[in-house]
Amino acid sequence: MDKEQILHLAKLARLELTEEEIDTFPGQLADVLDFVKQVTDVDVSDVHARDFSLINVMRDDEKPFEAGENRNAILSEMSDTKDDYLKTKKIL
Amino acid sequence: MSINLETLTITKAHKGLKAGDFSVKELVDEYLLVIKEKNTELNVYLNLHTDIDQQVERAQQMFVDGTATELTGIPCALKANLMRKGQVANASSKILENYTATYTATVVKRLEDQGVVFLGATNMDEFAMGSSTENSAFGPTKNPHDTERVPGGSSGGSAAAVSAHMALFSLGTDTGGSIRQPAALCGNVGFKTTYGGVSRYGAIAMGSSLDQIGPFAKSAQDTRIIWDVIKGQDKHDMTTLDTARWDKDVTKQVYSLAIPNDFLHGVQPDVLAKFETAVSKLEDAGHTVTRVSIPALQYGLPVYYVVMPAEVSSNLARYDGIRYGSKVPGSNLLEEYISTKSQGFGAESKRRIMLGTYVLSAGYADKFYTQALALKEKMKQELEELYKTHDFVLTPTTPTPAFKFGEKSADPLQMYLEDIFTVSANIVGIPAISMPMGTVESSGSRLPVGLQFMGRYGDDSAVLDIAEKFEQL
Repeated sequence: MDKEQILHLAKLARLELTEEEIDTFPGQLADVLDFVKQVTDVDVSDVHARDFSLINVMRDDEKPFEAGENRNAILSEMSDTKDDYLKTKKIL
Repeated sequence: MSINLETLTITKAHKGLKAGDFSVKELVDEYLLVIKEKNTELNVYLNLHTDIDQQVERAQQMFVDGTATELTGIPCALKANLMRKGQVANASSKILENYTATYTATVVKRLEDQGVVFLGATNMDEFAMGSSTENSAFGPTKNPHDTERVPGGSSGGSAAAVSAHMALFSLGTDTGGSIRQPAALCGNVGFKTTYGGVSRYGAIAMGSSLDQIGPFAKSAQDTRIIWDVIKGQDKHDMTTLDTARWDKDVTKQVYSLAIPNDFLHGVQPDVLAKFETAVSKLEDAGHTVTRVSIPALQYGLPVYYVVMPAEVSSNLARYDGIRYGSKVPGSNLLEEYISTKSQGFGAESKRRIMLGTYVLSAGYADKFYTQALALKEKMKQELEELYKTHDFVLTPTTPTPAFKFGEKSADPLQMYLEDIFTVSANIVGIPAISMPMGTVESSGSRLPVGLQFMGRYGDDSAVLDIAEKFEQL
């Protein structure tokens, strides 16, 4: 894994790396990928795909909380609000 | 009055509280005193909860009312990724530095109902990623047995809290060994339940198919007391198992134990010697020990380092700085998002987000992720076969005792190998416990090491039973 690949991966992951990370990550990630590559060598043709059919567990569509019960606590964690609304930069 | 915290257990503390030998306040004050003395050096607690007095009062009232249980008034430490409404839960990350929990985790609620007194939030590797607490944004926790060494991780603060008598028990989370490994390195009991045994509601997620909340305690008996309260179905966590399944008695007088001999070659010789002594004790007590080969265990770590980062990269995408957590302002939304994440996450979080992004990216997802899931299934099938004739798989919890700060932090892969014996239980979802098995000596320090019992899926009660039996030997 070279520097260019690391920067591409960081872009996909929506991360900016420090100079130090750009230096150290290629070697470190390559080590780990080399190590996990052993998973690709194992024959799994005898495995039944049991795990891939997950079942949804739904709760009744009832009122889980009193309206407004947690409003202030949740609002106070937001970095920017206006009149009880979450405020963000425009998305369109 | 002075209470001997060294030998105190939940059972003994309850007796003392019930008999009126000491009050809840006196008990809690003893622990707060130790925290005051030791926390600056050990860095166990990130913050203390702001309502300790009220909790103490309420617990004492339960003794007056006659509603007290074994856990009433017992001081507990909470890993910083577990939420208690109104208290800071920052998962040792800068990105959540001032985050105050807006709701309470189910396990915490269940313990609160018993009158447990929560003292504060303990240090950890950021978002539970690491085996040493060196990845905390707020400095590492030190091992109470040797302050030049790590306490293990990621729940290092919770493990050290119990060993340093800064809480009588604590809660942690275990995604690949994050309860059992620090329990081994700090010398207490650490229990990861069957996946779905304990609700994850209110735990800050890392790898959702692997994460479990569990206790650290001074004894197997104490561990059972805590497990009895925190286990069971929760409508807030759809992966929790039917509570009725825990009613079945799965304990036996003597058990059949399997040791994966070919898997133990990397264990440090003095740790292996301790392990063999423990095995002999179990044999002498009448349990059957068989040396076997379990190829499935070899896949544990590589499968883990595909599945876990994949889940991490999804779970950590939520920290956008908009709805909660710290935000780094930028000129547009994307710039804000990228700056917030880049400045808020530490190096290990970034590494794992990128690994996850890699194994899930087009062209690699089938090669790595889908293949790892198939291998996980293969591991399950192989272990299910083994558990038809054996009750437990036995290994040392870790290949070495606590290592020194900095020894492994520059080489992530070396750090990952620390979890070689613990990850498989998370991948296949089985219960596992780490029990103290004595100490080994290293440059003048006596360092604890742990023995791990991995049990059959759903047989958590049997795991606690063998742990209790081992403790008596």
